[in-house]
Amino acid sequence: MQMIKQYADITGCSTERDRGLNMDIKQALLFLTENCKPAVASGVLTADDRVSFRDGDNVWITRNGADISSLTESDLITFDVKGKFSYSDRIAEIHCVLYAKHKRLGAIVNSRTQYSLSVSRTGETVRPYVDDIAQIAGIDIKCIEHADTGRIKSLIKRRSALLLKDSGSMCADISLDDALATVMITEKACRIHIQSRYLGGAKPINVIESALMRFIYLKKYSKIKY
Amino acid sequence: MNKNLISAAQRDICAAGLRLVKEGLVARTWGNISIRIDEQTMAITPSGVKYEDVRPEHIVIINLKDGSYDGDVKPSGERKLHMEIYKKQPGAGAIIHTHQLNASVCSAARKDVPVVSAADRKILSTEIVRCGAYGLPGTGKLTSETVKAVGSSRCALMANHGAVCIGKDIDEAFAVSRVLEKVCEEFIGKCFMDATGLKNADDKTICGHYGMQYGKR
Repeated sequence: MQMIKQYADITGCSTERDRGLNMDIKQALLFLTENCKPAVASGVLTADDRVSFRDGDNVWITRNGADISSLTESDLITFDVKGKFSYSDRIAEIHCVLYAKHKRLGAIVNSRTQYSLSVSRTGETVRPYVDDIAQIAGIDIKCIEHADTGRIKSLIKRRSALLLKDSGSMCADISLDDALATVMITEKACRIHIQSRYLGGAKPINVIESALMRFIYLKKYSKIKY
Repeated sequence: MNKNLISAAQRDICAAGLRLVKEGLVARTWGNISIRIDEQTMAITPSGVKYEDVRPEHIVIINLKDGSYDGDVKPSGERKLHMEIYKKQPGAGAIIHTHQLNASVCSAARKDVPVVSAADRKILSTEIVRCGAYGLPGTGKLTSETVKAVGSSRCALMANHGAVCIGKDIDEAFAVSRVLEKVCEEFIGKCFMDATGLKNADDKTICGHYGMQYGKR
């Protein structure tokens, strides 16, 4: 995705997970603006989506209700992953829990794109209908209640995407670039899930082959030690 | 081998990769592109490199007869599919494998797609776009089933995978992919309207119907 403004361009560090530098609010705003604005313009995200990224021990997240296509400093919240979470913000709280639990995560995006939102309202599980879904998102995309923090933590261990009931998708990956790619694939998966019903239904790739594709993908791109 | 032809093919593939991403036909490292250089050789995208990062020196030159290549850069895992299509279709000059949206929906449903308009039939060289049987990526089964589905046409769907589009040159291959996307979109719309009795099939209507039908059970 050419639109991605790399973290390195702004900070000099190689990834968001680089522990060498903690951003100030101006750098965080620049990084998010350079990535979110084009993502909204190209339809990958909607303006009221939530985006966070890890920066050392800190996490930066856009505020609930912020328009991510025109962010200002007041639209950002930061918190310490190891500290006590003190905001009354369920999405930010989930992000905090996930960053604390899964060290590999560098960015998390909650998106309300059309097809993802529609499937999240029905609560159905989306299967890997094409190979890039299996590779990028995981062996399936389950729909979970917001309150079920334990299940969310557990599912994100081996998946990069899930649906939050009535709220669209939540995609978590090692970098913002990867998380945005997962948002795209999750939306594509939900589109196939819905539209294929009217073609007689899609036949998903079986679980073993899906798991194999996911494993090879993660190994090939050295994303995590599985 | 003519070095000028090789250099031109390598440059054209780099440009085509960026075009593929820009037109939304693939993202990141997915899909692949090849150009026939002469009767014995083709140039193809490398494996696992983002299109934005691909440089002409990354494009791999493959011997069409035995699949051999020089250098350390690993070619696309679907190179055998490209090789077989060039062997079967002497007029093919460029091939792109895409993960385009509407074709992906039809490929996941494993449906053959009828081509309604005469103009589209002419571009795709077929009355029905066939969907090849499922095979794991990079396997001989995927190659043979896709080649069978292509036949003498300019495109085919690959079950649970995407589409392959063929042209006498890269511009024509892109034209085929655009027409294929339109034909698949029309097919999905027709199936939706036939199944629901509704008069249009835009995203909002489809999502709305799905929500009504499956939302409160």
